[in-house]
Amino acid sequence: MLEAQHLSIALGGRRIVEPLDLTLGPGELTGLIGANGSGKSTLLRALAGLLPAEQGGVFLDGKPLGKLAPRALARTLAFLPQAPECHWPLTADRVVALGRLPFRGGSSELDAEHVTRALEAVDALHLRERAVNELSGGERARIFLARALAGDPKLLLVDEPGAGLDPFHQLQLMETLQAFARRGMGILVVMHDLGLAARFCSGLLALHQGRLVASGEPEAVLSDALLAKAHGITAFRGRCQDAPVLVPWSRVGGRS
Amino acid sequence: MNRTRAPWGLLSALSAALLLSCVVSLGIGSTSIAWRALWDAAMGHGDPLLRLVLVEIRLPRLLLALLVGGSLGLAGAAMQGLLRNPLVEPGLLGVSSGAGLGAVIAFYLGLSATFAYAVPLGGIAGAALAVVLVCSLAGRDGSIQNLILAGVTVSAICGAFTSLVLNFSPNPYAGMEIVFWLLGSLSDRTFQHVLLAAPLIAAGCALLLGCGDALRAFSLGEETAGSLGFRTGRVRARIIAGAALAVGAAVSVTGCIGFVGLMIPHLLRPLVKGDPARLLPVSALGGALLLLWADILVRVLPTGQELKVGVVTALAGAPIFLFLLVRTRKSLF
Repeated sequence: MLEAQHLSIALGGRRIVEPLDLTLGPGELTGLIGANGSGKSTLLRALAGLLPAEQGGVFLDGKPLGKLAPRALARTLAFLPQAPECHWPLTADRVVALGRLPFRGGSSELDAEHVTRALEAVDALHLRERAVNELSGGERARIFLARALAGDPKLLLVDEPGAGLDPFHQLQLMETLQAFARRGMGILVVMHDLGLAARFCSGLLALHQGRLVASGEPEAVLSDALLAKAHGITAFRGRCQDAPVLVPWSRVGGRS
Repeated sequence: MNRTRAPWGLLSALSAALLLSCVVSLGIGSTSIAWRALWDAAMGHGDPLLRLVLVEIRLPRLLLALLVGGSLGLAGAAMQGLLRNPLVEPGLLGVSSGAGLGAVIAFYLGLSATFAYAVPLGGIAGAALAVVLVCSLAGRDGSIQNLILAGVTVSAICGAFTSLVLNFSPNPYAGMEIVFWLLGSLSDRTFQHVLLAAPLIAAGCALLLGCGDALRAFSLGEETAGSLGFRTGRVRARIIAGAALAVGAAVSVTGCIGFVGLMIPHLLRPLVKGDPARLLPVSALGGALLLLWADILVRVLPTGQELKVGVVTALAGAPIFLFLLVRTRKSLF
């Protein structure tokens, strides 16, 4: 269980995230939504222990993140940044194997097993020998997700994994995240696609100008008022196969 | 798949080539030593004069080539991994220019004439001061960009002061001595030079060789490396300290030998499929091999005046980079 208690974050002396409380429990696929510059990525990085809290703190199973050894934290919580990249032309399986670094010194057979399983989970086993810099955007996104999954974390924080992906790969990615959440992983995913958020997430957190303005079930969070205030849009709504459908429709002048 | 597997085949091939090159290096010079005589001298028999040449002249030269070439190759691979840039050379953080300035000041003050180790000690002091200056300029939690900027600034300052010292050199002979030293050479070095540099180089190399896993994590960026359980500030400090020790000590005893730390990791990276951890030992062996052969070349080329080994590595480096550029352009178009 990951908890933020009265957490505020400042960068360069400027407060980016106002004090907020949130929890991420096992089996939850929570979407973090908000307009550009609302503080989503900053919040995610602080929840991963990569940015210090200005006030309050982040707790993993009741313990402050700062008190945990970095390696112990990395074994429990995986972080996938926005637009991840690999600076050297490593093969895909070696990139995925980097996700096992928190377990370095352990069994290499076990590592290999986890790498294979992570590649299978994202349907990329056939790419394992390819250099990651030669893959397409969709293939690369799957490999980096596999890297985050290779450590078999209890919690996964992902920043806009679907950015730049075609609809096929976006759906595939969300289905993969949903499958892992159903198996007990707690996942917090920053996303801009409100339609995918409404359909796949079990809960949503909405940020507006650094403030947590709504949280709860997707249909309750994605109210007309919130969409107008935080995103400056109206949306077409419907249902398909018992799932909510939300399509951003028009801009409104109420966004502040 | 085993993520910690070392590239044993490549390491064995490089080690074998290095061993063979050592024998060639010991046999070649102004006094040619036959293989049989070489063996006798190594076993403590044979002509005492040959034994003297071998032990007092060629062996220190060989050991320095291995130590300096190895440390330049290793530090280059580690710095490229840390900064995630294949065009970084180990002197980027001002170590080489700091060591050069320290040594040049020792020359200028005439200390080299009164105390044989004034130049290398001056070099080590200069390298240490340069690194302290770079780290304080970059700040405690300095970003990679700040580090590079601070390194370039300190290099420029040291370069300017080196020119100043040259400008005011007491006489043309002293000026020439400084210039020749700066070109980089392994000749006229003794076991004392080896003993002076070896502990520092060994400490630096030990620090760098232990950073393989961290450099793998750094492939994904510093923030992701942090999320994989690495204390990135500590890793950075360790690599900077390791490179400063190894390169500072190397430059202090041999002068500035360029291109080895830039070229070797660049050339060998494809052979380890880009893995920055596997590149470390491979680059150390490759650097030693390159400098050893550059030094052999210096001794066999019939030049009237002594050719400096730093000139040979620079002359070899430029066309290799030209070749790499042409190959890259061909693969792009």
